[in-house]
Amino acid sequence: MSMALRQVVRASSLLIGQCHPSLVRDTARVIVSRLVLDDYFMVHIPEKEVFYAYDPKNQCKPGDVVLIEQLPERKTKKITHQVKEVIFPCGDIVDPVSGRRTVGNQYRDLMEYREELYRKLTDSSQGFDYSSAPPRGSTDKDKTYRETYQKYDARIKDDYAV
Amino acid sequence: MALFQNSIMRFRCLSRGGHPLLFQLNTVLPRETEQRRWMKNPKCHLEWKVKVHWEIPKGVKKYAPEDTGDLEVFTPNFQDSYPVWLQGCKLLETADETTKELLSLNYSKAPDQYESYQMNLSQRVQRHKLDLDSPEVQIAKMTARLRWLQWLMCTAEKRRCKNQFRGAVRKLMDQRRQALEMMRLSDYKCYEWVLEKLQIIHKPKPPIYINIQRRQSLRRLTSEYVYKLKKEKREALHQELKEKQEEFLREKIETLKWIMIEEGDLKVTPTITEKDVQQAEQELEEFLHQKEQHVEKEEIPFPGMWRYDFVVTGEDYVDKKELLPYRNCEQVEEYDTRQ
Repeated sequence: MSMALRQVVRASSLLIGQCHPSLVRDTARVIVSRLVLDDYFMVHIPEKEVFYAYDPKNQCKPGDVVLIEQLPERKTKKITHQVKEVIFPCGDIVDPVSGRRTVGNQYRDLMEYREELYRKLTDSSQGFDYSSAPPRGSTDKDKTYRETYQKYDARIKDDYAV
Repeated sequence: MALFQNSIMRFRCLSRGGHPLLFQLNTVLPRETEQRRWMKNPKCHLEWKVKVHWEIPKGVKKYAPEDTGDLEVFTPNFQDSYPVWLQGCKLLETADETTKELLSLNYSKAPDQYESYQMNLSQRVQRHKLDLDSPEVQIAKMTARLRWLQWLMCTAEKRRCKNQFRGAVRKLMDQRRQALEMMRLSDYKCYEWVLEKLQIIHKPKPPIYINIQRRQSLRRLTSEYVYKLKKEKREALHQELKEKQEEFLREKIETLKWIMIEEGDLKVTPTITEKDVQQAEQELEEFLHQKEQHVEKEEIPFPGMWRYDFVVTGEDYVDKKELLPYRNCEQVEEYDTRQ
């Protein structure tokens, strides 16, 4: 929760971070982390910093890994950056070296091949099929698009109220 | 005791720990302003209605399926199915009907019923028959345990039993939420598939928990009310002008043509050309085209826009930022109010 209070002058205008839900219109809240050395423990500790990046097309969604670029002039007091590219969409990462899809630590091809062998032995049906899966936003049950809040009035009928 | 004009003054003096006779030295009398005098005996009677009301939000019980996000609930309808350790038994096919009834799940113990329910849920999500520890199955097992405990709490008569299950439900709920969050980042499409299969709503925790108070929530509601009122007035004016715009644009074209003809007759250097007339006609066409299209309006202010009291409302902010619970929190987001 404790975000960086000090703002650092960075060498490059390009940064990579993760997108988080924001209330501001046509902007993405991107959290960028960097490693800072602690002199006492002699350990690198990650420190997070928040950037508000302008994207008029609303191309990035919460969870995506995004490349942002510094604007020549500030748009507002907060908005200092601009979304350049969505590198990895949320939970659908391609390994840049080999060009294969990944699930956590392992490749998806190998995982599916291993499962097929088990299916042949046990004569069982398939579970989740990646090729026939619909694109993102097919369900209403995912409530991570906005931050939740505590209900402060009894008449509020919102899914994001706790 | 003539010194004590009010009982309040006496109390204020005593509360500071001084002697009641020495209050003149210690205390400072409140200055009598016009506002205070008017409040004591108002000369005119003002009738004004309170436009913002607050209703106390009824707290959802932390172990209820509404809070945990389960759309399905465990119900003991087994329909003559057998426990897991008896499935695939060949002797049951040749057995009597009485033995079949006695060995079915309707007459079996609670752990057997739970095991079969867990099996049913995990079979929805399994990759293959031998899959017992994939992340999908782990989530299914947790939901089975959670719904089982919820059912036990409904049926439990003793208070002591309820308290035991309550902690377990809360713990499982957090574990499942964490597992879903991990799965969301690693494999998003599978995550959506699992939510649909198991009928779960994934709702992350709010960034901070605070005690909901009357004054804080009234301030939030008033700020919403003021924003809504301003928006309605602005939109009404906008629509008034929009209705007049079609007449105005047609008048503009006629006047431009009239000026062009007059300048030609008087042989003055022409200020208006045919380009200007064409531009005005194009504006009218665009306006009529826009009028046909239906534009979906955003629902502003949506609830939760002013979240934690310290949200800025343009001119002045509602509450202090320096309160203890918000000390380590990140800075406030300003909502963009431009139209």
